[in-house]
Amino acid sequence: MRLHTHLISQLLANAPLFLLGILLSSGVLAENYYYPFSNPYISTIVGTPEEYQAVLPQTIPLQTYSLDKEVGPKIPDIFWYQSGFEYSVALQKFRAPLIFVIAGTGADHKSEKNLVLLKAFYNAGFHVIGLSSPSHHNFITTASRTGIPGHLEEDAFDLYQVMQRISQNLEGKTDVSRYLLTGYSLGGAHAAFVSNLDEHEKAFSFERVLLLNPPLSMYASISKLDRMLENIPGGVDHFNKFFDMLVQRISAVYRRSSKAEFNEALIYEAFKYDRPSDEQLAAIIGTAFRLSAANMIFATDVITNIGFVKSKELTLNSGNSLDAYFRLCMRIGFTDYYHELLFPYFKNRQPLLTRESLANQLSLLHIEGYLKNTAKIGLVHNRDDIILVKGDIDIFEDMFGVRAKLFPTGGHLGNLQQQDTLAYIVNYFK
Amino acid sequence: MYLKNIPLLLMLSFFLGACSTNPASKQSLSDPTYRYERVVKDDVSSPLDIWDPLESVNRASYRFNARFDKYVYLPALTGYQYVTPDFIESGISNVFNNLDDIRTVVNQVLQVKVTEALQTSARFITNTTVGILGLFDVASYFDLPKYDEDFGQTLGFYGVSPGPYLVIPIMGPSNLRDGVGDISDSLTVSPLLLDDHPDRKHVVYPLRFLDERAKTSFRYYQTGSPFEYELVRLLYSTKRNIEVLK
Repeated sequence: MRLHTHLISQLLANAPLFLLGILLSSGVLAENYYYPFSNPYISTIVGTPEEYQAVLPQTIPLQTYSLDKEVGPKIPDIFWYQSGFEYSVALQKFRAPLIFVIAGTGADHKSEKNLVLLKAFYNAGFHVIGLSSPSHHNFITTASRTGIPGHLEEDAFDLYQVMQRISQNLEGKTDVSRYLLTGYSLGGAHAAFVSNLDEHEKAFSFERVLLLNPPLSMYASISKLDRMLENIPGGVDHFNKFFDMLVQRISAVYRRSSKAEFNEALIYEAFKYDRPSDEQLAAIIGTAFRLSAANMIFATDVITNIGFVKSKELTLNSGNSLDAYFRLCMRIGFTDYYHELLFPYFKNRQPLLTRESLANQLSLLHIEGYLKNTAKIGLVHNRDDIILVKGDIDIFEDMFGVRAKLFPTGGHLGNLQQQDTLAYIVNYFK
Repeated sequence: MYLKNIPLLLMLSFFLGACSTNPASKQSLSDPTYRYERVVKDDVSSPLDIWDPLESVNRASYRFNARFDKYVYLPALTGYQYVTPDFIESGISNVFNNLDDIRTVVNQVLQVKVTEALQTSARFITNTTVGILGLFDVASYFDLPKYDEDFGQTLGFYGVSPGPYLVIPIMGPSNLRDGVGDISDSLTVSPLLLDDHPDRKHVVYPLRFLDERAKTSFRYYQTGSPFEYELVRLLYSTKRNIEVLK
């Protein structure tokens, strides 16, 4: 009898733990998502600290290959170093699914984020192919028919051509069981349009497609990112002061630290001990985005000779200083490119086009019917992603339903390397 | 190896002032949508304001370096890494890192950084003895900090300004102060060449050259920016300014 009461009291004492066990196993508390930052700007800049990262192989047998240029204007002398369209490949030695990974704005086929995805997919037993964004200098120069990126449907067409050529080159070298597609940020929007195109062309008949943190409306996102530079105290004219402040801050941490190397970890430290304001963080993100836009704008202007920042009659060569063009392009935003280059160019081709109707074409809403009714397409996004505007998440939830995986935090792709996020992404394709 | 740059540096400094980078004549050219003069205000300072009077020579040099890297330097590095087992490669790298501590301690003394000089000396002695002539970086296990000081930083410490930006053939981005600093540092006696084995330098120099490249992750024209020259110039100058301040 005594023994009995003892047992019961022990059971009672452990009841909370026991109940918790039931709750955990039944999934009531199953949403395990360990991401340390709740500030979306910090998340976007810092990413995922090592202790929260998924374990990935140090290296995979990734090779860079190049396709000869077949379309678009001739490469001018000043871009002599752009000889062909570059992409990266890692193949399994056995029959496996093949996944294409499209990089985000201004990023190339082996950008940091693309590498994370390529490693994760290769690790999961897929053949992997990394593609640069159509907004990247190399893509604009060697694989775009027009040299004018930003029109999602046109970009998707160019992407689809290189994907088919790459796939032809791999014939006989590898055994592909099925085709998969993904892309992050602008690359996510591109993946949606490529998948839509593939429904008619059927070169791949993608089995599954996953969009990672895409913009809903490209125009809304670029406007928002452009405006982030206005957060610089005193306005963009005071960029130098702002830059000096950042350098001084990093420099101060560097002087304090016992390590002598100058690297990204140091910049992380600079944020850790002396956190800048949200406005300053936004300005840093805005600057990085502006640099991508500047690269894209200049590459487009030179290859098309459209007379945007460079006089049409002027031919630049590799000895010319580009300093003035760099300064100029850093003062022009993606929105200026949209209004003064992209829109006039397409208006020329479609006289009835308005600025609004073009903006509507460059949105996932443009292919809403397709995205809503296609079970193979999924979405991963963060509720606090800084490239989205108010209401976007609701539209995404309506558009993708249960196919939308929304994480509470992570900013813009800051959680890409986080264990649960990456596990979800990889498992989606299994 | 650095010594070879002396005539070159002299030649480059001869160009100083003699050549300027006038923007192309703007007559008879139609206006682009955005014109520099209309968008960029002259009185606004920018981090891009870096003195580069030899820009056209530097650009040619940058282009040469990119090609040299692609066709000579990187293939040689690939070959070296292919034939050398990883542990030997890292051993060789450690030996050179250890020898660099001599340069560092000399410059720490010149900058009267007493504690740091003592730490670096301890590091060098530990690695040379326990670490078997520097093959193993034992000092890092004992948490002895690794510093990197050169004569360019020493000159900067005493207020010498960077001078004009230079892209030195094969060596890469520099400026007049750091270029002079590199030459001075190369005069620091290397114990590897102390005794009478004049042929040893034929092994030591190429190895050092390959090791330097192995330690640099930079690849030409992989930034995706048509403004790579300007970006490298900005990053090099900023990084050196920060290093001088340390």
